[in-house]
Amino acid sequence: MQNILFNILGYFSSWVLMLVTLMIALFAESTHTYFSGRSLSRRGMIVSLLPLRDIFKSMTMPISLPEASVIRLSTYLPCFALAALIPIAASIPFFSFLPIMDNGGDLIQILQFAALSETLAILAIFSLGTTDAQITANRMIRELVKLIVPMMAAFISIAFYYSANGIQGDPFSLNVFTTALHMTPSAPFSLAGTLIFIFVIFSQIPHSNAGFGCSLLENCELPDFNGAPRSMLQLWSIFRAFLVVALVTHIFFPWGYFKGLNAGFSISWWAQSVNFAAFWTTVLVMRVFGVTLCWKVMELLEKKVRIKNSGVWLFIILTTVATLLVVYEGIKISMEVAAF
Amino acid sequence: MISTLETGYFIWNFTAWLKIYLLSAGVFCLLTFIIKKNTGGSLVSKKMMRGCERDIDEGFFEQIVSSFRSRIMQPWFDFPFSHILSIVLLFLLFAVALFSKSGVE
Repeated sequence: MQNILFNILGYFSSWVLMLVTLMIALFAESTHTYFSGRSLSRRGMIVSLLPLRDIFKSMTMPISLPEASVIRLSTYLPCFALAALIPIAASIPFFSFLPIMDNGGDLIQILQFAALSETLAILAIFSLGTTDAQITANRMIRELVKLIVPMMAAFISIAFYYSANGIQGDPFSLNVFTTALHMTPSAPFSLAGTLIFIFVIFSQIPHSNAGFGCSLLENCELPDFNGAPRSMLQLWSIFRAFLVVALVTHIFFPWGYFKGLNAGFSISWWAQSVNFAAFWTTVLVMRVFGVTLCWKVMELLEKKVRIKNSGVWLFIILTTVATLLVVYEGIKISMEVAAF
Repeated sequence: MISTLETGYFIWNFTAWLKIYLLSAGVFCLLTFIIKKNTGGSLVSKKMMRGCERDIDEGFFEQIVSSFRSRIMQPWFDFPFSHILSIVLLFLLFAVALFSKSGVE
């Protein structure tokens, strides 16, 4: 009995500590909105400097749903959508200083939970039952496809590259990606492909055009849906964007460099702390500056390419090129091994 | 009951994923339920529009923050050694999680 209690206490402590790390997501979002707000206000555009204020404000307001909504689904589905992001967070190394799951989750399982989370969020919007909600849900489906397709292509092609490289065990494991073989200059095609993947994935993170933030339902969208469920959905969208950044950063983080840097430390927890701080600083910088840069560059490219649906075409072409580059590197290695 | 799926390529620990998902869903649903109960417990008319309505006091959020700060945070800040106690609390959470090893699947 004492053991069970102690186990539950330990598990809950790890969970709470992981939520502390999730606060970085909110910090990154507010920092980003602060910078973009300053830049846009210089051009005469008014952007709320405190998007989080609205989220927490609506937490304290009575729940309001449209008359046509399925009440229980609209109220509680956002909670399940947000909860489905937590296992993903738990499987990313360094999301918690303590591994609540075995550090180094499987990318296929991560994508399954991501799809589950997105589906629940879309269902929550559909359950509102209004025409506006249907338009928003349809937009969310399009955004989901545009985000998850390049991620799947990236994970599958990089896993293929590692399989061709002779990696034993699960090529989809995040631990395999920490070997960072796909980012070495000796594999130029794979390096170029991964960089294109990073650009495509970052540029497809759903965001509002007004404040360039990741929060869902900004700009008075669905005004008759209010209260805690709306806040949950907005928190969900911010966490989702942050998790995507953390996952993608994990793929190209210079693990080799940091392992070399830590070699001088004989104390393992100190080396772990250095890695922890370095990784989260990178994620924070990528979220605040890297993602914004990708959004802006994609916007510019869409304007330059003067064809109908230029954004979709760019997305398809870049994803295909990146996949081919990484797969080509894998095939090249297979051929070299076969020749040897 | 199968708790892990193990092949030559991957190991999926279903129990670990399910436990953390259900715990998170439970906590978030409970939070929503408490908020719903405290803010009236029933759905109000659709006149309330977040971020768009004009009849809500602009200082509403500030009032909440101010009362939270004065009633809950301030007594804690006034307490001597509160910062040390906060660090100790976080350290305790860390130690319990680390040494119980229950979080590690």
